[in-house]
Amino acid sequence: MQLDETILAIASPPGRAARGLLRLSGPQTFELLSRRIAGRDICNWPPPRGVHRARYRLGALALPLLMVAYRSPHSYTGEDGAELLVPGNPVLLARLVDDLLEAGTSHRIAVRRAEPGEFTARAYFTGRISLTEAEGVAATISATSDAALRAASMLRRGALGRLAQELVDQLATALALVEAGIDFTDEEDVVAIAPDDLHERITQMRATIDQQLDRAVGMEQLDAIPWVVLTGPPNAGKSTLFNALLGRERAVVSDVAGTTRDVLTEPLMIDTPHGGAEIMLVDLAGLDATPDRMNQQMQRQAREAIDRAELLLDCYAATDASRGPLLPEDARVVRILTKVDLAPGTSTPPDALGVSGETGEGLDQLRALLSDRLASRAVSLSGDVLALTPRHEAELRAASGHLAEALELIAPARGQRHFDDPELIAVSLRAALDALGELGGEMTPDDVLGRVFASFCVGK
Amino acid sequence: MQDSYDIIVIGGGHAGTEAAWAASSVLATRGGRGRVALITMDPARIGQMSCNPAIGGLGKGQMVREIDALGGMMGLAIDATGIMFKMLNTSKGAAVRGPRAQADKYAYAAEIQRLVASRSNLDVIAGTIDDLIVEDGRVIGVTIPAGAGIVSPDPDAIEHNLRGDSQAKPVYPSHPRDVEALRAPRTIRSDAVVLTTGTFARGLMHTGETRTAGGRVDEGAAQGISNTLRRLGFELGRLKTGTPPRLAQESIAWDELDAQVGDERPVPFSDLSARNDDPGEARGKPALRNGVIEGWLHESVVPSMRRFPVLPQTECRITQTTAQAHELIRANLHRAPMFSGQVDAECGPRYCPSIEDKIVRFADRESHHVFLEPESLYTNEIYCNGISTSLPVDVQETMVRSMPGCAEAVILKWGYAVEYDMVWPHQIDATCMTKRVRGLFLAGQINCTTGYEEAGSQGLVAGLNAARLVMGEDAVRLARDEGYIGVMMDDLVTKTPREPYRMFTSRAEHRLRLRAENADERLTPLGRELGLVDDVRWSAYEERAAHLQALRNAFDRIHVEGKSLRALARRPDASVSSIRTHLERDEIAASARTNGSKANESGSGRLPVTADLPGELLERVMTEAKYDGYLARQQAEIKRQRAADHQKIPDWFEPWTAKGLRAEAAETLQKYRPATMGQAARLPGVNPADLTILAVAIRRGPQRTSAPIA
Repeated sequence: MQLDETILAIASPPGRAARGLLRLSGPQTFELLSRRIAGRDICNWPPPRGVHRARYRLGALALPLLMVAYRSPHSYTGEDGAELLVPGNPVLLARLVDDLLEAGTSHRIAVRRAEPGEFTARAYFTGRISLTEAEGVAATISATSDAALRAASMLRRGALGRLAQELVDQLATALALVEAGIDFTDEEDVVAIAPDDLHERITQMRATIDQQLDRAVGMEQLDAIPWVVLTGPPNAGKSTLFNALLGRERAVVSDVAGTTRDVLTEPLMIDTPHGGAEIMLVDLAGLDATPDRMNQQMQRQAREAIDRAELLLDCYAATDASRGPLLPEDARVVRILTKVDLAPGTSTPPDALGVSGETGEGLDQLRALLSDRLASRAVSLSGDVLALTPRHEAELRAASGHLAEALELIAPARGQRHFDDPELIAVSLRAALDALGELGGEMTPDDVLGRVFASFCVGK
Repeated sequence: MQDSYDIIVIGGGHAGTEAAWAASSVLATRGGRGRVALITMDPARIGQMSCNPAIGGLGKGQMVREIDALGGMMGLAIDATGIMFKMLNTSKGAAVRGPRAQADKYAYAAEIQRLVASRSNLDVIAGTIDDLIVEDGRVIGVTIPAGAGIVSPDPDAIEHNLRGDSQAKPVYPSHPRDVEALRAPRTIRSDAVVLTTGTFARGLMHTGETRTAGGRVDEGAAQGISNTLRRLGFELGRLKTGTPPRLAQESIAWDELDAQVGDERPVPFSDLSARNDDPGEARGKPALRNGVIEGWLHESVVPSMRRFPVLPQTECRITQTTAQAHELIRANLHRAPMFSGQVDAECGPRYCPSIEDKIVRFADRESHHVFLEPESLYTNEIYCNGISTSLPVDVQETMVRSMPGCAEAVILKWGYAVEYDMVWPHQIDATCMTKRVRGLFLAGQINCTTGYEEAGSQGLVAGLNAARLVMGEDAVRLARDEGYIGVMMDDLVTKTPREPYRMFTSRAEHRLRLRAENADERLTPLGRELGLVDDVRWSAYEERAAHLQALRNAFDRIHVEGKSLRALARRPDASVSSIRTHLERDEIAASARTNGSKANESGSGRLPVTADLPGELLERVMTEAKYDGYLARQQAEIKRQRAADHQKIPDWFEPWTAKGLRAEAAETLQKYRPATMGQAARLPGVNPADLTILAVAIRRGPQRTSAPIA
């Protein structure tokens, strides 16, 4: 862990919420923010401790936000730090992260995404929290990282993952052919890949990536993804079902005060005849917590979610069947009898589907139902279009950029038999491979060498 | 023989000799009167090239340059005994060029022996070891059997070899004189032992159905050491490698075959060797012009300082296998030990396949090239590069005789496969010291590597760290961005090799930085600080460094038509001579200015004399200019990596006690026991979150129950 680097992370829970929170910590926090943020009450950087109204220059946009500035050592981590409160749009948050990382690169400021639990770990390292508190840190970190690992493995099974794996595979082969021409030219059988051949391969890979990027559904278009909203009375087991369908707990909720978790959304993969596709699963469970104080904004959010839902899973518990169903019959409504494991005697009415988020009973039928009802809607997305998170989009763009760089290096050698600078081409291909590796799986130098050995008879 | 040595090195191959040399250098410069013992079965075979009589190659050549920059022997020995030098990949960028040379294998071994003999604090002992003595987890010495004893170099052999006009003779005898031989087994104490078993630990050779115990033809095996290591708790593995048959040159239609020639103007491996790099003026030039300097590498010790190349140069020939031989091999596969199940070892290297492997794996090929390489200027032995095999002798003979030019070939030595025991390398640190036994170092093939260069590099690391251990100083680990040696050591301790490890340039993520030509700037200052680099090498380095500094300044200072020389050097059409012309013009203009004014205050920042500027240094600075942008991009990553590499993981840390650590991560950390956070980060299956937990657990300290001190 390097404390001289500035770290940042989205600190609000994933999914859509009223407000989003971006957290930064580290010695160059304000140097970084000064490159993007301006505010009438901020005369000098670093700004004084406290809350500042400011605007963030995001491309042509001037995004209003609240910045809470903390000064070392009076902060959670003990370092200089800041929290940016912005509208709770996951796209926007991710864009901000990318933009700040980019600002770091262009202004030579050491900034990177925080590792799981790193804020707390820093607090411990700077002596802001005690050993006992630190004990809890580890548990939090491991839970977060487990969730991240599961998310990554889910991604790999998705359409994007498959595309990336294919690209990684092709690119690794191309790199192996370049490396073979470098490391094994003294070997009998190795014929370095011809510039024309490599140019063609890379051009094709780049075209594939660019095509996907062009057609990809950005998060602003993600609204086109069908929403499936869980409704029902409090304690009807909506959250349990939400988690069960996702196959994981919702990510650990931040301990930062002021973050809301009123409406949670998570993408969910469903099977369609054309492969996996995404739908958006929406949980209104947060509204249960304070039903009597449900304010106008919350009601509005709930109404909007229900209005735009493609499908409403109206949940009521088998243990409390008198309290449901809530919604009138409608083509969009599917009645779900939850907690069937807790009321073994109860028979499920013919118009409802009995499930248990705990035992998994009925989940397969529910998934089949989702596929059945939404396949046509989801197909338009999954057939040849990817839904990309900004981070994934950034990786794909980076890969495309590195491939463009490689093409530029290859171009002068076209028509010739070999390259003058294969080592520079290899750098670009390697960088592209690493960028794609985030999505399609890591390809180590040894794996690349393995491809050389498999395709050439090297060795004397 | 003394009762104790500061450091004992076991094994006189490429790892053992570099280890002994490095340890002896460090002890000589920094450790007062410390002494080193090199124990080997047959001192007459110290430095022997068991397989291919060649040094260097792609990646490997860079390693030899690094060994040289760190004051090692390999570069000196090959420069003194090379008979065909060739820079590989000259048509490609400087980062992937690698020097390679054929050696006269008798001269090479003898040269290594002569260098060993030049060290006054190093004794050579003929013998084996019976046992390692370990107490409380530390090595404290070895026991050697009766009959072992010190051997002395033969001054007549040394003199004969320096003339270089006939086959070199061993400098050391195989056995001690009677008066030197021990009458009874004896214990020799030592705080550090470097073990380099090569292919000798339970070595077993196969040629067809014939099996012979031994690590090399006509030599025995070390049978006991494997049990000793197992008893100490090490996890052992078994590997195999092989070697091709050797032919008699006069029985080959040599002149009918295509020749493979070396470079017209050979480039030496060692920074100390004389340079011939002025175009059109192939004059040998001593690397040193500064008069008398203290050190151990005088011109009388290093022949290549006076002239290079030292030996006459020769050529190789090329032939190939035939389809009919492939048929024969296919028909006899059941008799090949690797296929018949006769060999226990599971994996040989994928990049060094035997001819039978090649034929099975690349069945559609009708022919494979075979390089016929002289093993010596003064013997008739020809090495058949490309047909390593363990097939029965009748198959070998038919195969060889089917090759063009070899119809009458006489086989002097049969090819064979050898299997041997090794220690899985996750059990050592990047210092070569085992994690289990303090003071016990392993180097070379025992660590799952292959190749003289890889072995020599580990020997250097082991010898250096053994010396530092006995002097009570911190261990040294080379970083991945400092050298291929660092890449190899790190790979060995953070990855599980699936075959003997050989260096390739593609293993180095900082390949553009790790060039053969700049090994000195990367490592010589470090070597000096550590006591590996003597005054002679250091002063030569300082001279070069001053030149380079002046050149770099000139590249930024001089502008031609509004462009800096650095920018000009980046253009594809830039050549050494065009840049040199610009430098000369600038010099003329400057001297005109100086003559015009009264004071002659030239000097700082200016090139001493452009005409005297070694072309290779100018080329180096041009290469830098070309890679500038790429190198700058990697800076941040290097800084991160270095910081992590300097964060040590203390010995008391037990992965299973770290709260919240995932079981998979804990298991990996338990197996590898990484020495630094950097190593931990590079382990398979350890993710950043695990590292954070690790950092917290380390910070928390070893006491689990006592109250923290606020």
